[in-house]
Amino acid sequence: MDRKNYDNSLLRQSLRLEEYVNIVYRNVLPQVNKIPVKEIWDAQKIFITGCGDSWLAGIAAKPAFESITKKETYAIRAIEFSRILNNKNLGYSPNTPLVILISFSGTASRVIEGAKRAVEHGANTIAITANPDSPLAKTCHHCIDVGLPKDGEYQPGLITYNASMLTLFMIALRIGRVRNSITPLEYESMHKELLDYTSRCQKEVEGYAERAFEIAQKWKDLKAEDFIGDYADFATAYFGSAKVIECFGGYTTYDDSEDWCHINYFLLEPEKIGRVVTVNKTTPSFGRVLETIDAVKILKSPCMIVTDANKSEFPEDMEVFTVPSAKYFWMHPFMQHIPFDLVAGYIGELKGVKSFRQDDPKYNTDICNNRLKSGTEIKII
Amino acid sequence: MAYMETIKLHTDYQGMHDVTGEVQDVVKKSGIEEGICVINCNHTTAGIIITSFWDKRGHVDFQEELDKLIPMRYDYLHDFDTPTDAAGHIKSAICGTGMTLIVHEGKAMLGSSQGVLFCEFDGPRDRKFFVKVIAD
Amino acid sequence: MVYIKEFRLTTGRDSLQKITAEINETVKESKITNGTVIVETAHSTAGILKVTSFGEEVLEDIVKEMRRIVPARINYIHQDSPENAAGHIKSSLFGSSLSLIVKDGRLLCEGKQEICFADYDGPRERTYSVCVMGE
Repeated sequence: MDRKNYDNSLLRQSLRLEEYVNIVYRNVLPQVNKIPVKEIWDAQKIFITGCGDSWLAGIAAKPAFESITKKETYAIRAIEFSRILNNKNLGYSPNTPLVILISFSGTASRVIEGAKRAVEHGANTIAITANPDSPLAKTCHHCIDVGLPKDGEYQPGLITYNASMLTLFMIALRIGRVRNSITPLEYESMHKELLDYTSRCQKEVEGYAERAFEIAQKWKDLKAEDFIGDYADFATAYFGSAKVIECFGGYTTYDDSEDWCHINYFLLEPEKIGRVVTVNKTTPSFGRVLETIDAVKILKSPCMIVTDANKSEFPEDMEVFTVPSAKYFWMHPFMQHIPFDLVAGYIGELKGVKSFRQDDPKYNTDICNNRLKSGTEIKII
Repeated sequence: MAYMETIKLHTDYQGMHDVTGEVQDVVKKSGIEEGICVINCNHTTAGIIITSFWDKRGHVDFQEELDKLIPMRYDYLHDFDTPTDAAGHIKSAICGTGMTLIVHEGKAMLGSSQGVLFCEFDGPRDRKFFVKVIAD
Repeated sequence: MVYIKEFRLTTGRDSLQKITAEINETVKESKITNGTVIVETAHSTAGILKVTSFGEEVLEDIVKEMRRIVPARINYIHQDSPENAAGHIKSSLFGSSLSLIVKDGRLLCEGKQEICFADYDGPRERTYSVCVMGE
């Protein structure tokens, strides 16, 4: 089987990731540096919200925010932020909390609703978007345009996920710099590492593609993919799970290592479920993840591990993707989603399923396509 | 005899709000001709002062001079809130959060240029202060 | 004759690092016995200072006093960071270069006087240059 015949969007996006990361970096840097010092000092808490991959970018960046800014940070779902979160969290002190809202189109209804609510109650708001003229951008106090080229290939989301995460990292670094919670030396080193780490990983992508294609051939007829990851790695697990659905409409689930042992462990026919584990040397629960992997082995599930740890840490018959280590642990989610993205892309091609089920006309009606934008407008609470 | 009212206001960032009218209204409503009027707010980053109310730019000067004296630096030991808040605590302590005026012939005694100003050292915020009029 | 040498150093937060020995060494290497020395740093948030050092506490006094005169306020127009904004001002006010005299092969830097590299926005990797001119 020739891998070249199974080209797919996620592979094409992965191969251009470094180029796009550099574009976003250059565009975003002058914009984050304009976030006023007083407002940064005023923010006693940080909320990050968005839908789908945008929210996941928030989960992925939460460890970065907590580590760099030393401020309480919440990655909160758009529906919870816009309709459920208690008002007492908003505007109890000037410019607090700092709310970062992510939507590339800038038209996601729940995100705009959240922005309106935050503004109304006196919180500070920053939009991360690719559309500075969008309703979201216009609602928020500040707008960061990621500056992605208009003609790029962005579906299913991969580059956009990295663009959101990179922008969030850069906001965290700006806050850390202004609040002096990291030293100028650390600030410079972290900035440099963002681009260096991307570059180190980019060199590996061709190799990952080779192995991902082999795994895709073995895994294409499995019943489901089940993802495991803790804290920062949880975002990678969740993101992989989303790619299963987006690329080939597969059944999938995700959990952290602890709850996996309590719940997903019991799934039927484990030998027909692919388990994907993301874990790093710096993951505080590294030992617990190893125990989880032992359980996966007993269940005889096919298993793929994405890690910066040595292959010898894991059982021999598992597919271990050893990826470059980042100098700072919080950077790992930035690149570690790539190996499985490629597997998902190839499975989609091998199965002959188009992403977002575009192979089936019933998924392409107006009703389906409006689902992202609709939703009864309610009075801001 | 005594009479008290709570006055609410929404302040601007570093705002100076002339509340002379509100204070005189309370004195009038109390019906008290001779006595004292106590004004106080229970915020720690706001103050109540008497100064000339004529020139609004003078109020900017007031805040700027105070800011030079008590800069919004980030390295105060006070670590609970923000630099604005930390400096605000000191400004509030220096300016005071209230005062007592003499009520004579049904009015709080103030000079023709004197105004009672509510000073916001943080903001924007919802604030309130209390006015109590006590008869002789 | 002109002799120029560049030095690198890693600073700390609010650090005053003594560099008198490096300057003396450069003067010696230059073989210039009578002339002037210029010590300069090209960074915008660092400086070169001549201080009288009766001990480390005195250096601390200087740092504290500089912070009092130029506080790290959050409301400078320059919005990089409070330390950086204050650093630019300190660098301008307190100077980023120094001229000294070499006489009979010796730097005229009396008793307790020390030349210090001041970093107002550290820790960072910094450089400064020493230029000896004369004969």
